[in-house]
Amino acid sequence: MPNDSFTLYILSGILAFIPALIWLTVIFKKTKRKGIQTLIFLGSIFSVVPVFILHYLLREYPQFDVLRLLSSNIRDATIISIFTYISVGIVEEIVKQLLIRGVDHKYLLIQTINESLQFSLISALGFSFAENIFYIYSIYINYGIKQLFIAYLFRSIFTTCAHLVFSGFLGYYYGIAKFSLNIVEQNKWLGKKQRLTNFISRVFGMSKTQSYKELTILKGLGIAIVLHATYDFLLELNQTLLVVIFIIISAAVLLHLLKQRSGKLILITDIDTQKTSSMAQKDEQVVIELLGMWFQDKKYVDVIHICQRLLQRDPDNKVVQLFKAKAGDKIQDESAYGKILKNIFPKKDQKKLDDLAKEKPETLPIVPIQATQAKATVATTQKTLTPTENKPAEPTAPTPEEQVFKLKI
Amino acid sequence: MTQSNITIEDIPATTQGQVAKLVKFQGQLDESNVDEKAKIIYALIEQVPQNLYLLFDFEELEYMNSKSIGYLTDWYGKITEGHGKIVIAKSKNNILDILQVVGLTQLINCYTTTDEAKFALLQPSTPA
Repeated sequence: MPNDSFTLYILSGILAFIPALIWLTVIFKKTKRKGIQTLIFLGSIFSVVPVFILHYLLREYPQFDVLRLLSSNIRDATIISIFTYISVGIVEEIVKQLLIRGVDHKYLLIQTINESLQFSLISALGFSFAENIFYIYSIYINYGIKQLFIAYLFRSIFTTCAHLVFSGFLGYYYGIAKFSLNIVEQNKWLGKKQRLTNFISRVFGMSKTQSYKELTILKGLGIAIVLHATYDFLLELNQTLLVVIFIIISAAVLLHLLKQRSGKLILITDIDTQKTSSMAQKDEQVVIELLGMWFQDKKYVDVIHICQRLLQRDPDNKVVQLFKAKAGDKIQDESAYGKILKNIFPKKDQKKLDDLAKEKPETLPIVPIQATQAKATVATTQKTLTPTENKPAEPTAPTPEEQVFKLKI
Repeated sequence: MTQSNITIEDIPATTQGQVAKLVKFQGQLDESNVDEKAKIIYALIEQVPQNLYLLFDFEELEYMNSKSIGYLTDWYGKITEGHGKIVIAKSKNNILDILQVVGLTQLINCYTTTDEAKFALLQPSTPA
């Protein structure tokens, strides 16, 4: 009955909102622009609409259902399942990102890589919240309240987290793509070949920056789709424990990306307010080239100090800011597990400039020169400144109804 | 290959045991010639591994690339390990700028005249 359905939908909405609110609280603790992020959340609730429209259209016009056509020609249920989950992943990851891209394109919403990641998390949360309303409703109607409790818990925690993780990766790479101009330049100074970027640039007649941007977005989308499909596939095989481990590891990787210093840099440049460098461009390029060399040689402390001095002369140089941030990230990474590794594999210490400055001799002891026959050594600059009882259930191709209402994303 | 030249002259030392040299750089040090030219200094360091005092005259040095700065840092390390010293004289402003940003001016004193540089090079440092 319409009234009961309406009431049930309202109740589903309330239930779905509880975990969404908890996740929002967790995410908002780390963010500053809460107002705009709330608007993004509200807007992204409607991002499920294209997904449901697509499902409806494929049901009404099955002749356009590519998946059905493929299923009829392929006998292996596993392959059909994989195709299904990949196609679901493609559609859902793209629609989750559409709102962010649209708003960013119009209002220059995203100023840092981290913001791109955070806005993507918010968008995913809105999508997941809307999706959960329909799932809660249909599970209650079809399976009753007992099944609903377990499904509700699982969807609130793991499925929502999964949505956040998949969109987070896409958002992270979108952020990198957005600031590809600075990153491509930094890669140049680091001596990275970027062969695929150059190839795409030549083939499609686009700039290296544009080529890098497109490839990075594709990379992010690819990662999100693979993670999404893997999640669904593991769930299909009833490998709940594996699913949980998978999500935890993916979330840990995403958290690590969120903590990177380079992610917090404001890489948007306002040309009107940008300060000019007090150093000649040619001289500055010599120093930046040296930064690249010493970064490759893992002289991160020296890189940071040089960046600090250079930023006093050219404060708005984004490439130098990136070098400083990345060197800081490397040192942080090294301090944690690096110390453990160094104890196991002790290395000859590379002297830093600061150490040399401290060792600058105050006294000059005169030592008689002794004839030595030291071997000739010519220093070369190092190029580096890297069952069958527990057999899982056989996967079966999901029915059209199951595609929508199964316990997965 | 870009033109560059390095000439080495003896400087009369004031203290027994010191070996002091005036190393004059001319032209530009870039990717095409820096490795070859660096060998000259390394050969000198190998020849005199202890108490080597070098005065680098940069008056006619127009350009240093990043690799040559890396070499300069390495020379400083090797010479000071052997209780020697390096000073720089008459560096052009742009090169001095680069050395200052890189931080090398904290290690290697730079002087505007050769006489000042010679005096600083050969003067024994006061004990701490």
